[in-house]
Formats: sequence, C-alpha cells, structure tokens
Amino acid sequence: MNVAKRKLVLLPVLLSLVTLVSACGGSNTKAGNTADPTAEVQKATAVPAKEGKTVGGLQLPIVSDKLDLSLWSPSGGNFRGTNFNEKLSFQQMEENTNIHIDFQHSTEASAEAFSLLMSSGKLPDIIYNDLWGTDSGKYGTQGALLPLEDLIEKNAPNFKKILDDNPDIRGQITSPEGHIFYLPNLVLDSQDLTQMFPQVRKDWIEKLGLSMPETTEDWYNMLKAFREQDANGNGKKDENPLVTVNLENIMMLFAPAFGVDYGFFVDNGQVKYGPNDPKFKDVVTYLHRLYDEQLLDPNYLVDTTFQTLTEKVTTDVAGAWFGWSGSYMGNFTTLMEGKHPTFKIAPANPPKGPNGDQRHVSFRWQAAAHGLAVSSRTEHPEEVMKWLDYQYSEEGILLNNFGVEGKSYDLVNGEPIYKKEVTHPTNGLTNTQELLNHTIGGGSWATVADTRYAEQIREANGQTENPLELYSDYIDFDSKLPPVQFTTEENDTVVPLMADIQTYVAETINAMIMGRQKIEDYDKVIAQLEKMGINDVLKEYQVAYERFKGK
Amino acid sequence: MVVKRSMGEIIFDSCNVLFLILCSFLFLYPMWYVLVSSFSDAHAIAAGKVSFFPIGFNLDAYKLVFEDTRVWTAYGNTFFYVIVGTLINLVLTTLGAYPLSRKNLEGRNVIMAFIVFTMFFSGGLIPAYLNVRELGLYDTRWALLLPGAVSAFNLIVMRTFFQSIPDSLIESAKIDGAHDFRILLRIVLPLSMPVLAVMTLFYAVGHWNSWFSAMIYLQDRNLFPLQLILREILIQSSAQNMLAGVTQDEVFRISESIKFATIIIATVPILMIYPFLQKYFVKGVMIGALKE
Amino acid sequence: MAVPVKVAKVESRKLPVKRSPIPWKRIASNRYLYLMLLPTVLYFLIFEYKPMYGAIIAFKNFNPYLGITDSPWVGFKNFEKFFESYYFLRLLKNTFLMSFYSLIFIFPASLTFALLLNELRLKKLKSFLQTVSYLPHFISLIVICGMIIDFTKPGGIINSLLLGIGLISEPIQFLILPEWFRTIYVGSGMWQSLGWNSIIYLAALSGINPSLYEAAVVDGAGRWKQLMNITLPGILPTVLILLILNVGTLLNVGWDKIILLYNPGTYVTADVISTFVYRRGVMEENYSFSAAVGLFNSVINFTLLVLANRISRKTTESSLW
Repeated sequence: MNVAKRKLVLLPVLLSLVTLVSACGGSNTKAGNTADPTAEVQKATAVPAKEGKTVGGLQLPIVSDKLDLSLWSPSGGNFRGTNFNEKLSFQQMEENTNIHIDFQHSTEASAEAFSLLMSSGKLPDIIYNDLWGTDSGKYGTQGALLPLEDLIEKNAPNFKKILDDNPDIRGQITSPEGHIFYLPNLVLDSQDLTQMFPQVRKDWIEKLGLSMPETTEDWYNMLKAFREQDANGNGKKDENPLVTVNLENIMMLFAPAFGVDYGFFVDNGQVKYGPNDPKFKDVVTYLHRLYDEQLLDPNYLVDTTFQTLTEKVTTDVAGAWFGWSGSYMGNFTTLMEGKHPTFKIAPANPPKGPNGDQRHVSFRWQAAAHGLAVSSRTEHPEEVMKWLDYQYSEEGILLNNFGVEGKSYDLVNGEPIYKKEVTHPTNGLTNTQELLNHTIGGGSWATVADTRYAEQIREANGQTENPLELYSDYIDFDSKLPPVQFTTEENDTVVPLMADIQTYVAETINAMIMGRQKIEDYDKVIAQLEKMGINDVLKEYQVAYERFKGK
Repeated sequence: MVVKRSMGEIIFDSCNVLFLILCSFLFLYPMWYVLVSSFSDAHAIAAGKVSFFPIGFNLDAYKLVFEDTRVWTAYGNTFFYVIVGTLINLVLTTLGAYPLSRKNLEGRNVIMAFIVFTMFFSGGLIPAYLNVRELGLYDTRWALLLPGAVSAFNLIVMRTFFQSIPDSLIESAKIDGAHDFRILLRIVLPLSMPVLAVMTLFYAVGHWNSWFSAMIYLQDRNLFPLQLILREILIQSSAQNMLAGVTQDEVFRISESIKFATIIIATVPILMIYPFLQKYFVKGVMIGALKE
Repeated sequence: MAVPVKVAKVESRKLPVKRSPIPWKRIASNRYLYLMLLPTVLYFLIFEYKPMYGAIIAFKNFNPYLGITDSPWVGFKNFEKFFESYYFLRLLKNTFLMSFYSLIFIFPASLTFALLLNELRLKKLKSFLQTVSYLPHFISLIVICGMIIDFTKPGGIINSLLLGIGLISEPIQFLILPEWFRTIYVGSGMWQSLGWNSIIYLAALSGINPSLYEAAVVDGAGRWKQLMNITLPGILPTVLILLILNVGTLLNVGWDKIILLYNPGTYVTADVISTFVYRRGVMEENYSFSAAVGLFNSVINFTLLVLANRISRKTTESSLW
C-alpha cells in the first residue's frame, strides 16, 4: 500500500534526522532530567569497558569475545557516510559493547534495494527500514523477521522499561498477531511530535505590507502578492511563491483545511480515504487555482529533490513551503546568513478552511515507522537484542544523539553541550551535516530522540523561539490514522487494490491540479475508486483500526 | 566512373550534401554543447547564454568531480567490469561458437536452436533476479559478470565468421594429429582477429554502459560502476550529496556544470577510441546481419 | 534491430548423404568439441533456462521464504487480476504506440538516411558522416537521459531555442506533459539509433552488383531511375524482412529509458508493460503478479515474432530461422 510513500523514501531518510529538530519541546523533559547519571556512566566508559558494568540493567560488554553482527541500512542522503563505522559514535559503541557491526549499505534507491534484499532469504542479522511500522507484520508472518517480545522480556531491560513506562508505544509496534517485529525510533515527550509545518518568507510579508496568513484565502492572497508585486524586488516576475518536493507536502498543508487528508484518516471513528470524499473536490479546486495562476511551482512534479528546492529558496525566488524545522527552516537560515539583508522565515498557522476546518496533520507517533528489525536468520538472537537494547540505554542514547564526549560534545554541569566545531562548522558543512560525521542522529535510528539536540542546533542557528509550540493546539490525535498493521489475509486484499488506486489517484489529482482533467467530473473519480475496490480496502482498514484501538 | 551530371543532379547532390551536413551537426551538437557547458559558468548555462563556446571558462566542475573519491572508485570498478567481464565473454563465446561452426558436430542444430531461442523468449525480469539471488551472486561482482556472459547474437556472429574459415585448414591439422583445442588456439583464432576485435568492442562497450543490473544486484557502494554514480548525479540531481565537503553555495554555483563535466568524464574513453574502431563495429553488424 | 537474418536460404536442408541413425563414432571423435561447448551450454541452462523455469511463480503465490517449489499454486489468478486491472488496456495501448511510433518514424528515416548516404559521391565526407551518425549508439543511456532531462527543462537549450525563434511564448514543461513523452522518447530514439540502423541498409546497398548500374548508365537512366529500378528493388528484401520483424516486436518495449524519464504525471502515456512489471515486481514486491505480467508479455512477443517470421518466410523467402 505504500506506493507513494515508497517513492519518497529519500525524503524520510533525508529528513528523519530532523524529526529531532522539529520534535523539540524546548524543555528539559524526561531525557533531560536523567542526564546526570548518563553523564557519569559516559565518563566511566571513556576507558575500554572490558572490566564490565551495567547500563540500565544491561551487562557490558555484551560479549567477552568480539562478535561480528551484520546490519543492513541505506547510507545515502543525510545519513552522510560511506560506512557507518566511520562515525565516531559507532566506533565507541563497538568498544563499549565488544560487538563489531558489519554494515551493509545501500544507496538512495533504498526502496528498491530493500525490496530486493527482503526477497533474498539471505538476510543480515539486523535490518533498517523506513516503513517497518506498516511492513514489519507482513515480513514477520512471511518468516523473515524474528518475533521479539520474548527476547525483549529477557534481554532488553532498557527497552522493556520504556515500553512499561509508555504503554501506547507497545500498541503502536505490535502486529495484529501480537508480535513485536521491530524496535522503532522513539520520541518520549508528546510535545515533541510535530514534524513538518508551513513556513513563509516573513520579510516578504512585511515588505508587501501583509500580515501572516490565517485562512486559505489569506494564503491565496499572500502567494498572489508574492508573485504579482515582485516580492524579491529584482524587477522580474520570477517568484515561485509555493514550492515543494512532492504533492503530499502541499496536501498536508491544505487538505485538512477542507476537512480531509490526502490519504487515510479517521472521522468520528470511521476510517476514510481522502480522495474518496466529495469534500476532496474543494482541495483540488483550490490547488488548481494556485497552479493556474502560477502560485504553485509549475515544476512541482519533476523538481522532486531537496536540492532543487534549496536552490529556489536560496536564489530568493521561493516564498512559502511546508517543511521541517531543521533541514528546511534552520538550514535555509544558515545558508542565507550574510548573503541576504532581510531573509527571514516564520512558521505560519495551519490554514483555516472556508468551513472553519483547521488541523495540523504532520506529526509523528511516539514510535516511528522507522527502526531496526532482527532477521530470522540470525544466529545470535540474544546478543543482537542486547546490542539493540544498548541503543536505548542512557549511554546509547547519548552516543546516538550527541556522539562521543570530548569529540563532538562536552559535559557542562552534567548536560551534554555540542562543541563549537559542531554547531558552527568552518568546513562548509551545515551543523546538522557536521554532526552526522560524528553520529547517526537520534531521530533516524532505533533509539530515543533527545530533545536537547534540536534545542541546541536551533539556538546555534539563531532561532530563539521554538516554532513547534505553535502547532500542538491544532493537533488532533483522533483524526490521524494510527500505524495500523494488517494480517496476511487483509494484506492480500489491501496491497494489490491500493497499488492501482494510488497510481490512479496520483495521476488524476495531478492532472486536475494542472488543469488537464475537469474537476467538475470529480464524482467520476469517486465512482472509479469504488470500482477499483476502495470500499473493500476501507473495510479492512476499519477492522485493523478497531483492533488497534482495542489493544 | 566519371559521368557528366545534369543540372538536376547537381542540385540534388548539393542539397544532399547540405542536408547530410546538417544531420551530422544534429548528431554532434548535443555532445558539443555538453562539452562547452562543462567548462562554463553555471549562471551562463542557466541563462541560456552558452551555445557554441564556453562562457566564463573555468575548470571548477572538473576539479570537484576529480576530487571526489567515489567517482574514482566507480571508475576503477567500471574498468574492472569491462576488462574481466569482456574476457569472460570472449572465452565463453568462442568456446560456444567454434564447435557449433563445425559441420560434422552431431546435434549442433539442436544446440543452436537451444541458444537462439533465448534471444526471443525469456523468463522475465523477476525470475532472472531471483535466480541471481539464489545462486548467491547478489551484491558481488559476479552479479555483473556472469549473467549475460554470452550473448546469443554475438555467438551467432562469431560462428558465422568461423564457418568462413576453409575446412581444409582444419582437416589437415586434424590429420596432423592436433586436437580441437589446439586447432582453435593455433589455427582458428589467429585467423579470427577481426571478429575477435569486433566481439571485444561489442562486449566492452556493453559493460561500460551497463547500469540496470548494477542497480538491482548491487548494494555495496564500493562495487558500484560509474554509470550508477552518473545516474545519481544526472537523473536524481544529487550532485550535492556526492560532493561532500564543498559549501552548498559553491555547489549551486557550479551544479549545472558538474553534470556536464561528469558526462564528459564518463564518455571520453569511448569518444576517444571510437573513431578508430568504428569500422570494426560496422563489420560486426554486417557479419551478424547477413548469415547465409 | 540488429538481428541475424537469413536473407536467402542457400543452404540446402537435405544433403543427399546417408547417415547412420546413431553416429557414435562421430560423436566420440568430436568429444573435445563437446567439452569445449560445455561451459557455454551450462551458461544458457543456468542463466537463461533456469529463470524460464522460475517464471512458474506467475502461477503461484510466491513467498521468498518458502522458495519457488514450495509456494502454493494459484493457477491463473495473477493473470486474471492483470486482465481485469484498470491499467491493462492502457498498458497495452502505450506499449503498442511507443513502438509503433518508433517504427513509423525511425524506420523510414534510417532507410532514407542510408539512401542519401549512398548517393553521396564524396567518399571522405561519407565516411565522416557514418562515423558521426553511429556515435550516439555508443553513449550510455544514463548520459542520454541526463542530456534529455537537461535539454528539455524550462531554461534548457530546447526551450531557449524555441523561445528565441518565437515558436513559443512560455517555456514548455516537456517532461511533465504526457503529450510530449512519446515525442521525446521517439525523437531521442531517432538520435540514438538512426545511424546505427542505417548500417544494415548500407550493407545491403553495397551488395548490389555494380554492373547493374553501369548497364543502366549505358541505357541512359538517370539517378532517379537508377534508384527506382535498381537500388530499391535491390534492398527490398532486406527492408521487408526488417519491417516484418519490427512488427513482430511491437509489444516489446524496454523499460530502462522510460524509468529514467517518466513520473506519475506522464504515466498516462509513458507507462508500458515492462515498466509496470518493474514497479510492481521490484519496487512493490508483487513477485508473482509481475512475473505473470512479464510472462504474458513474453508470450505475446514470442507469438508475434513467430507469426511475423512465418509471414516473412512466405512472402520474402527470408526468415530468422
């Protein structure tokens, strides 16, 4: 079912690190308060950990004789690295656990590479995937993945404690058959869940004498003004008011204002599919108007890389977009520092629609869909589980989020503080990129994302307030479809039907936005979706949703 | 044969020459454009100012590409695949073509049909892929060397050539007591240099340009051939990721020319050898195309 | 297009030599030849025929952890699913049109190019032109598609040119608009293969007996008459068989160039059977379903080819086998 999502796999990989930045609550929460003991432990292990100790109940080193485990993961995009063992955090981890990870990397084409890997039957011990949240059950029942519940019970004191403290998380990662097949990236504080949000050129708004947009009409007028009134002041009508790397982001921005979503959502306990709802016609009409008047990037279908978007922003032609706090807002701000006299980005409220709908839908669950799973072919299930558990120990969390003490951060009053070389690199990299030379990034890995990471990076980038605080009021947990998983039989119904439906929807909606197909005929789209079996799909979703709720 | 040309013929001939020169311009210009752009300033390219000569001549794009170790690793890998792959191709094709060219080989028509059939029918992408995995070739260099090790078409070309070698030569060697391997090595192959040259080129160019199997069979970046890196840069526009360590600003300035520079770097070896070898290619196609 | 062609069946099928039914002696005397043949035959068994056997997953619900043999049979279910699919007709149509347009544009163009080259009297220019025209054939597909993407974008050289001569007033988003996809595909295909395809005609042209032309000149026939009466009839068998074979491969469109150029906006015209197989199989792991679609395509291709070959044998006395 993840046709569209899979193609965008680059994006989550690229941006997952930023879940951290965006997921920052700005306060010292659980992780922060427990930082002191962590710090002690960290100091203690600066010397080789051979003598043995425990972290959160996990005995270190995990094995007395060095053990090799294999781990498959994409390495491209913002993971930045040919081999993760070049990252200092993993070197230190090897020293502490006495387990050597033999990383098997694929490049950006990770969706294909992942599919191909899974079909082999020859799997490494540990497998990374962006979509374990929905796919792990399927591979689990196929026999590719090891059910982990018992192993967690016996070998993973740190992870088990997290599950016990946060019962929601257990539900989010348990398959319909009651198994846990992967360990997710976690955010423990519910305030830190916002992901992407609308961002606009504040300086343009001020220059043109506008105010921050509140409604969809405000948005239209603002974009129109950007385009018509030469917002960048170069005398050319070259403004590209609304830019995006994909349609999904634009949909997340506007569809909720019309009471729908681009994908599945929940309306009063009923699972619905956005494009199958008559209200969706209004979304398409609105976007068509933007496209027609060249307010939406005419190239949005082919300019799908983050690089082209960055180019548009930094060449001063883009006016608004829907993006992450770190990789978009923070990154652009740093890039334009000293190059543009007024450049300023501000977060905007989710737009309010004609019927008063106003909702922010880009937020994650505490347990992310990405994480690490254990293959059924492993010969060392217990050691693997212990190594995974280490990722969730205080020590592991610090290594994954901050790197190695003295190399990328220092302990100041027990608080990890990034070194200046990391927050203000002089080698031409942005600070998030530089950090990734030291560690994997707490937002992208099977570990807990530390809020202090985002906080410090944001401060380094000169952002004083936390943009994410704006959105907690607009988040409606009940209307977002939780990470439901399907049984094999349900999967057999849903997957082939959705493969056709998603292709059809993507094509039709794009064609309507671009004015190639009449929007007046939207009824026909709904009729066609029915013909293609959307009702059967919805039935399975409803079952899965209710099962999830019952857990 | 000097014949007086009529007025009409002269007009036709001149038009023909002009038209064909225009054609050759169309064949060459895209490559020329790429070449001059690779030396030009990215802003000039984006503004559409570059047409026949470099504008804002600079070598920055080349410098960046040459500094990138991944490009070099991939370059090395491609050479490996070309050399080893072509060797395997030549050995297997020769070993297949020679016996099948011997008229007294019992069952050769059956074997020939068995081989030719694969040109017209295949199990398809998915079974072929699963096969490679099953054989344990996945993510190894062998995955690019063994599948496709013999091209049925090339085997036919070679066999046709071998058939043109006079039987009497081979028969007399047999009478002298030489066995078949010896005959192949000492008599047939020395006479077959032209066709070997053709085969070498066909196979080598194929390896040089191949990317799809690398995309589906390889995961380890250290094994990637050049074409896959090219794909990242050209099709997925991720020059930025590739050129780590360069400031983003700088990358934007030359991102356009980076693309063109990588095209040139990846195509130059072929462009260099090609004019000298093209007549062999043509010969190969002709041998293969018209079997009697 | 470069396929081996039996232009004339000179080789007689029935040699009037009596052979013993089981010629053990000859087999034994050729044992080294068989030994030589072994690796190549093994190659074809392992890398060509084994996947053909593997295609039976089209009739199964393939689970990689059970393997091909143990996966459960489902009969023709996967095929039925494909035939009932919303995309079935469109894929068929796109696949057909993509090669049909290639055929009706590239085929005559290659022939014309060869004929014009043949008329050229300046030998040096002729060989230069040949060299230049074969060149694109050797440039990798990745590079070609990279060039296409770059040339066709707004601000690319093609848009600049069209704007410059005033043909258009706004840049065209060539790669987004489905109506341009086939033009781009066929146009770039022409650039890639025009020269290379002309080789076979040049070969046929050079095979025409020069004395025919000399006799025509003596008879006072002009160039046009020579073309009509000698050149064209001389290469007609080659042209015909190539044409028929092309028809035989009408549903055989490769995926590689298309997957490098298409996007959801152009699926309407760009999605063909092989790209569909690639997406459903490799990207979405519907192995059995996509193997079924692939097998369907293989069978259709093969059938068309057999038919074309039969027609060719009857009408032109030349055939592939």
